Amino acid sequence: MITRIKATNYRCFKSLDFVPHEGMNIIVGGNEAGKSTLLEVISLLVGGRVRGRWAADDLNPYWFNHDVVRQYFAAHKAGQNPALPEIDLEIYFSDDAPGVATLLGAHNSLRLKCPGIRMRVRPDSDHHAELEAYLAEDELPELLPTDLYQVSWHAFSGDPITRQPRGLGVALVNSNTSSTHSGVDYKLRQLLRDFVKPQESAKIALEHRTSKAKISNGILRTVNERIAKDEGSFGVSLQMDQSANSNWDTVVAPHVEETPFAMLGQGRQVATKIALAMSRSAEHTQLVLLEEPENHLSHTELQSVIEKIQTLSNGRQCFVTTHSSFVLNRLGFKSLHLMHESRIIPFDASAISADTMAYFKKQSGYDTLRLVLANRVVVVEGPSDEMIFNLAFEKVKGRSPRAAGVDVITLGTRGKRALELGKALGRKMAVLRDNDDQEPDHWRAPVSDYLEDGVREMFIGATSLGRTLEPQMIEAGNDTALRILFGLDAKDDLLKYMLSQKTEWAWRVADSEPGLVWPTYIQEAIEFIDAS
Amino acid sequence: MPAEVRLAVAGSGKTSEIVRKISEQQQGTTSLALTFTQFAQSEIEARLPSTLASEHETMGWYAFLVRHIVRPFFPLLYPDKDLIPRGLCFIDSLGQIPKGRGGWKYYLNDQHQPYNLRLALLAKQVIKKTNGAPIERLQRIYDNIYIDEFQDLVGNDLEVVAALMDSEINLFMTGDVRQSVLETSRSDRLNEDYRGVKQVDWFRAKRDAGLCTLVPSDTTTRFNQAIADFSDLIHDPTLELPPTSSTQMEVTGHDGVFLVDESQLAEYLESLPRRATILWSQKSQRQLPQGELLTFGTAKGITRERVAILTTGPIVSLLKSRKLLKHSSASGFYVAVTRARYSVALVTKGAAKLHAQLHADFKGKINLWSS
Repeated sequence: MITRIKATNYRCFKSLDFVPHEGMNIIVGGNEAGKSTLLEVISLLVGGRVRGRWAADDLNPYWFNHDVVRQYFAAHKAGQNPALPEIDLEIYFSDDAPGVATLLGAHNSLRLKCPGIRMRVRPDSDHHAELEAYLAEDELPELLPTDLYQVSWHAFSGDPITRQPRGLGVALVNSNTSSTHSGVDYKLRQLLRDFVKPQESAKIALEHRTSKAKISNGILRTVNERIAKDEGSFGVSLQMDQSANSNWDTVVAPHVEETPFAMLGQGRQVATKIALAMSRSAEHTQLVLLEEPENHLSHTELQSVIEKIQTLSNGRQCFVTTHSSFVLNRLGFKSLHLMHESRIIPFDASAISADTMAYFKKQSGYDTLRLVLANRVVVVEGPSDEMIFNLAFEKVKGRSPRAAGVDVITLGTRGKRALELGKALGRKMAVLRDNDDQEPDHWRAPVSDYLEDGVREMFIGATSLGRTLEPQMIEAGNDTALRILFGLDAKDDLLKYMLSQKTEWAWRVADSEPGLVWPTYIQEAIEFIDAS
Repeated sequence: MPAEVRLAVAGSGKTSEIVRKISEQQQGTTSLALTFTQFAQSEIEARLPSTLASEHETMGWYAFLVRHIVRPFFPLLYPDKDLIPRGLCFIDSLGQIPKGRGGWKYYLNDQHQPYNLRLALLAKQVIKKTNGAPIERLQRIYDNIYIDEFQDLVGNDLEVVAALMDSEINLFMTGDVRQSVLETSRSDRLNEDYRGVKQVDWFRAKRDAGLCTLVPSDTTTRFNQAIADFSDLIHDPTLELPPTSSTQMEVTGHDGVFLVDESQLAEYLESLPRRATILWSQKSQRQLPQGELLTFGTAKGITRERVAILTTGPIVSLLKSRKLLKHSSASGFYVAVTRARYSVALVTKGAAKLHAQLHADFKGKINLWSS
């Protein structure tokens, strides 16, 4: 089991330190949050490959964190002679995990006695002189000369690693359906190869070669004799391809119910890959990496895939990235990690108080996901507040909150929970609430730890203008307009009418969009959340 | 389970025993065989069947110390050093290490290669500093560890062996203290009292401490009883090593131990159906006859029908008065004597005179050869 993952200067990770859960890990975050890169780091450390290529073959300047590179060149140009950036990736395993004893040692950045794997990308000391010369040039492009770097891949024992350590199985299922003609990429091929014993593989290879030779020496000979008679044929003959790219495992294609893998719909392809990855005994694959299983899957397919993940995840450690509240709800909140701007915020007591955690665990995954995924969040108390805020925003800004990247979420009076989560995630957040006859500061005081000017603020109407949204709307100068809209005359009690109508009044306002004046606290909230 | 230590005699099939044990291991078992010399490693590897049910690895002692003891936990000894000890810096004497190398440089050269002569000391330090972390690690990797030719291990090597004895690993060791002609480190002064054949006392102490059992393996299939009896007289009798018995009963007409006068050596060699192999110590420089020539040191591990040994002054003293040879000379002589299946000729000046003056223990065990 992985107990810790550290990544320094690798792609979006300037300094990642991630402590996963024992079994299921759901990683939720917006696009570009670094979810895929996290899975990439795991499979790179365990398998030595990235995007199907060996690390040393794939190494390029874009491996390095952009900010770090920029800082380096700024310092370099300023003549500060900074040290060249290095990449350091580490994966720590629990001491009792199977198959990791040989990885045990202390060659890690924490100097811990622990099994693990480390990959470092450092300037190659053999190319010291070239590096010096390169860096002495004027007008350097802001790219590191990675051709003068070296990738070292070793266990914490100090032993160099050349291929995936035996006994350490990892299955990576990404939702990219394959582009190769057979639909079988190297990851899938790896999964398939494990079904075949070495002796069987040797036998298949032999028979495959033999049968190719048979065709070459049989029917093809007749063809070749005929070609040879043609004087313009320049010695061309036709032979069965015996080169490496025609090895048996590249021409054996998995079939699902007699249909070749490549001919399956994308959804079925993904579902099949997941099933293959999860069907192998836990001994073979202790680690399963699933990238957005909801992609390409219909709701029913997703449901059955999730069930598979759940029932088969016993004894394995799973890392699942997702955008889907359905996946999150089904796989459970206790395994949640929130990812934002390449940082991982554990959904646990270290970052979020126990009762807030309990609240979100009871809450539907949908609202939590919205809080996590939105860049800017407005939290309101009820449906009327939501409709009025949305309308006000659109009228003031000329576009809907959604179009402005603002998510408006109704969470009742639990603004505090949202603020706590928002702080943990570093989100911009506006919480609107009724004053309920209390001065605004009465409501701000208990959550002052989570508030920060310009980042997370609370917006509350003045007590003199009424305790809830309804009197605030009237007092803002909308008495006449609202009476006209609702068909009331001067002697009718407008406030009583609105309060008795619950959300109906707000719906009618939103539906007819009359020209209204918006309460000050709502206007302020709009300006706050829309400011960049 | 305490370690099992076989005190073997020459020709008792030490390596075969290890090979048999490895071959019989069940599927799922993991094992490691360790031995000092390249020769002994290839000996084990060559005799193992090509397919094993279990997972087995054969490794040299130095490689073992680097890979499994020193390297994994080296950072805990020098937490501020970001280096991985690799390979080996092979030197013959400590004088070859430049002066003034302190800290990690005491043990490693600038390429981070451990000095072979200080490797075992470093290994002991790592074990001590980490409360036995390397041993714990080995316990998780290997079920069985075999050590062949343990007599080559000295000084701090023995501390590593002691730590292995005190682990959950099934440790099986075999060797012959009488054949201590090689040493991992001549400069390692630890356990000096257990140098050479006296190593047997180190094992006896470990046995008394409950860390191992000592099983004599004193039956040879190589040489006849006459040679066996003679070989038992070479080392210090106070060590009370068990006597050697032989199952080699072949009679060729020229069997046992003979004194041959130097002047008759050519004649002697001619008289044999096949020429004997000449064994000589580097100290006994003289005109060497034609034929296969080997020094005592290089003869280890081989078997010949007959040998002729060019004796040295100390060997003559041994024969006359049982004056003990130095431990390395005794081991060399023992190795030389125990190469022959049928006959051992001790070539000396004045063979007849020496024969008359033989110490009582040798009387009747050595025949005088004459043409």
